[in-house]
Amino acid sequence: MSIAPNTNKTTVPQADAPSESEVGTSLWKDAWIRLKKNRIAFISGIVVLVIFLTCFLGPILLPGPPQDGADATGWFLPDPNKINLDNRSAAPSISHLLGTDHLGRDLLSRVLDGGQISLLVALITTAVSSTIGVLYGGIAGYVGGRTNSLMMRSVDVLYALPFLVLVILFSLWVNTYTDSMTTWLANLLDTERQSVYRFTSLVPLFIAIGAIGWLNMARIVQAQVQGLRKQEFVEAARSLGLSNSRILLRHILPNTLGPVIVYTTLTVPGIMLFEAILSFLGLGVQPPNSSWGILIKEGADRMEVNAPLLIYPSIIFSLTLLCLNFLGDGLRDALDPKSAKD
Amino acid sequence: MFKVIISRLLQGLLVLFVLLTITFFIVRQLPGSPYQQERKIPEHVERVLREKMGLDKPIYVQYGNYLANVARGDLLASMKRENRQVSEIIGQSFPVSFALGVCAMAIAIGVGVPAGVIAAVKRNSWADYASMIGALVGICIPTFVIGPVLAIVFGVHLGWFRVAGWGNPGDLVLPALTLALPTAAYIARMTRSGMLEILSQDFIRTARAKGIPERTIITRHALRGGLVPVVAFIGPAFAAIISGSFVIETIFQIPGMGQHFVNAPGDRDYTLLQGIVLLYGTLIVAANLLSDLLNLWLNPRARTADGN
Amino acid sequence: MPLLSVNNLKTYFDTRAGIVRAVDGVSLNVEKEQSVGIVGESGSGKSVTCYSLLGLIPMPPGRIAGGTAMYEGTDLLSCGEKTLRTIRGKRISMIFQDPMSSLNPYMKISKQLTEPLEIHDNIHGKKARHLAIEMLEKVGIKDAEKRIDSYPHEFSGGMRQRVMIAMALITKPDLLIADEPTTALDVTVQKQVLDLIKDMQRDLGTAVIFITHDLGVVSETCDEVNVMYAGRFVESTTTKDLFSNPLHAYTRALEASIPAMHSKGEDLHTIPGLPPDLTKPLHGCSFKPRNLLGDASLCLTDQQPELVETTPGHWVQDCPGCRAVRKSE
Repeated sequence: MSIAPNTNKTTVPQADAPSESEVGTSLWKDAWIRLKKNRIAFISGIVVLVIFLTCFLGPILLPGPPQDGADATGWFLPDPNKINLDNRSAAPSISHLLGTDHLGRDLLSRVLDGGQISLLVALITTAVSSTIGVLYGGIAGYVGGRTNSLMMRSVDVLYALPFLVLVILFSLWVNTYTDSMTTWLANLLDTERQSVYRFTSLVPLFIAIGAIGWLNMARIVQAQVQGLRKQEFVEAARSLGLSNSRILLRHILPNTLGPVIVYTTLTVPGIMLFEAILSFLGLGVQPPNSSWGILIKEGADRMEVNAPLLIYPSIIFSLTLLCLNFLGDGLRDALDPKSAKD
Repeated sequence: MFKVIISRLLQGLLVLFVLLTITFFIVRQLPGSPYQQERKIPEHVERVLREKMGLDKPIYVQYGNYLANVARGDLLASMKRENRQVSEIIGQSFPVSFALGVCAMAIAIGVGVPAGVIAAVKRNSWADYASMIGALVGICIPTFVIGPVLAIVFGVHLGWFRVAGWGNPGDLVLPALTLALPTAAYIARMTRSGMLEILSQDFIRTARAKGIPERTIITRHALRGGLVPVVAFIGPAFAAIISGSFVIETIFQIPGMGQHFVNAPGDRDYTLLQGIVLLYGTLIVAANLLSDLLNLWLNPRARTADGN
Repeated sequence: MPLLSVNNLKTYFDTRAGIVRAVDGVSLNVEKEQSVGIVGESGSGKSVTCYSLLGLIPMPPGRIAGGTAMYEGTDLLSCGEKTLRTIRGKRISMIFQDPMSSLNPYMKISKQLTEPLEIHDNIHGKKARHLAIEMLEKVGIKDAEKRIDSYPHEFSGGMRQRVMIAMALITKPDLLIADEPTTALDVTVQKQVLDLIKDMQRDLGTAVIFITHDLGVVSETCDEVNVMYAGRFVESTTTKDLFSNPLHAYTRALEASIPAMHSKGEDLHTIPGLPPDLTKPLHGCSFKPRNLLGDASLCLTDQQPELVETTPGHWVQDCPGCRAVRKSE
């Protein structure tokens, strides 16, 4: 799946108000008011926040069963990887709110655990690709001329390459360094290899998706910067003798923040979906890590025997995507009212 | 206009070259080799095999040879299955994937465009809300959830289609539908916003002032411009269909390209992987070219504006 | 009997900020072959008036809140879309402000020109094309035979407006509504286009409603003028009378701001402030806050001024403040 939401609806922000800071406050305040009025987007934002907090804080606040009283009554989140063959495919109960899977693992714990990975991958990857995209697009747009057309032509070429194929190749390649990276990090932090590996095994994914996902962002920022570059406040900054990098970083890029935020929000669900596809194919997140994609895959395999295994991860995954999309659309309407099509 | 087409063609060739180069070197960077797998091969046998495949030569020589072979249209033999040509493997499984992809694309366009047009024309009506909610569902519920669910409902419970397998035309229905859904959703959203944009233009008002019936205004005056963003989406949509087809083929156990693509990197089957990547690259480049050509046909301004 | 008789037209827009009374009780007669001007600032409601007549107001948010517009026994405001469609583009045509965006960029000129013929007169193919070429030649496009197969973007702005005029007049309508036809054009081209409209009007015997913010255009082209402010006419009379004997302060302010009517070195008059916010109901004279050339202190505050006929054919809003003439110091 392409992770490109509809991007042809961006306009260069207006910078004709007297001073930058004034534009800043009124723009953001206005946007906040508009966003609050957009009930669907606002609720979506809250839902996303709740899902996020539950996935990351839930297992910390409600840790596993009190010692060997395994599956004792009470409300807690057991270790997501704790296999209990005596309690396979159990129906929901007090101790297992969503029941257990084919190996007796608590489904709720696994959903939250998988959510951590899915969200982590999506957020880090989005951060990586957005940073690359903003810098690349910013430089290309600011420098202009031949450099600009060369840089953007390269983006066109990369854009035409099959995304999935590249990501898979790229992650295979980065994967070859995972082992040494794990050892190095484990030594550095003086911890178990296993606990470091949980994170390092994801690095190829971060890098691969991030390295290829920045293309759209670069295009958007480039177009924005090209428009801003010619405006008076940039001339003013230049006449004050500021350096190019300072003008770009302090004066131009902050003005592209609106579209960047909107597009970043819309990228997150795209990347989550992409990670899920990869994991579904067995090419993404690897065991013992799990992600929503892996859970859904496992659920799909046992759908006829134990439907909840498919249903719950699917619901929470789809809900997250849905809310992120609503939130992104709402942000776009709030930050870029001209493109709003109610 | 010809200048535009020629430059696109050249750009397409460049893309393929870059893709092939990246693939070639990345694949050879991977640890292990086609011959270091479960079945241990005696060392001298492996040496012979490597010589036969040219793997003993320096990498740039291999690269040159490979490019020369590709230029001649020879994709070489599979490294894993020594007795089979890559082109033979692809020739066997590609038609399956192609049929699936074409059906899905047809459904996606056939459903997405009318839904988007209706949504735009009847803005804020129940038809608009229904199709846009449908589109969001299509985007947010991944195919690997919808696929199994469709299989259960229509395959197991209703018994209309086989749950998995390949052979008769009915086997195409569920996979093609599943594969088409997300793309149809994107197309519907794009068509809608494209049409809304066009319908708010001044020349639509002119057309109304001329006394043209609303239906004619939509079909004759608005649709062309409204489809421009959709046409630009054909390339990415095609790429999406391809990556989606890997998933769909896994779910419905369809003997297409997906299995080879998923297995080839792990098998270190260099030539097969390169062949597949080249094939998909070509298809996507072709889809982008098609989208450019359609844009030129739709949009007279593009014919002159893009010439320089 | 006038060709078109508009009586007390009201067009309102329902927006989030409230009801915008864009046109609030406008009456207007257009005789055969006459040119009538509607003058006012942007936002005064002059375009909305004409769009309302042809049913081109987007509904919602717009709605016709009242009035009639009789055209040959048909009320344009209530006859329904179907009847209106047989009149639009056939009996009443319209040209627009921006010829860049008013022609369909995706269609050849030929197709756009012949379209009205196909729809209204059932003329197709070669014959339609022939008529279209003829029309293009009439509006002064050289090499029409060849240029007819071009796309709009291959013409300059002035040429496009000529194409628009050809398209509007190809069905030989009784009435042409020209919505700021020269505003978007270069000054040098403006006069040519105005002359063309006048010529065509004479040749075809078409009546014209000119919508403009430029009194200069009015003085050149119109027989009668209506000055519009905040959704109402403040003064209506013959063009000659309007320039020789302007009664309303707004009319005088507009005239005082025409550069051509001043000698070199003299200060141009500017009208301070903005037109009133039409979402709020007006209780008195709408021009009061901007009235410099009359006596703002005398402006009505308790009721909206009504039009009165001062001399035959010369109507003005009866607001003492706006009719007063400030003594120049």
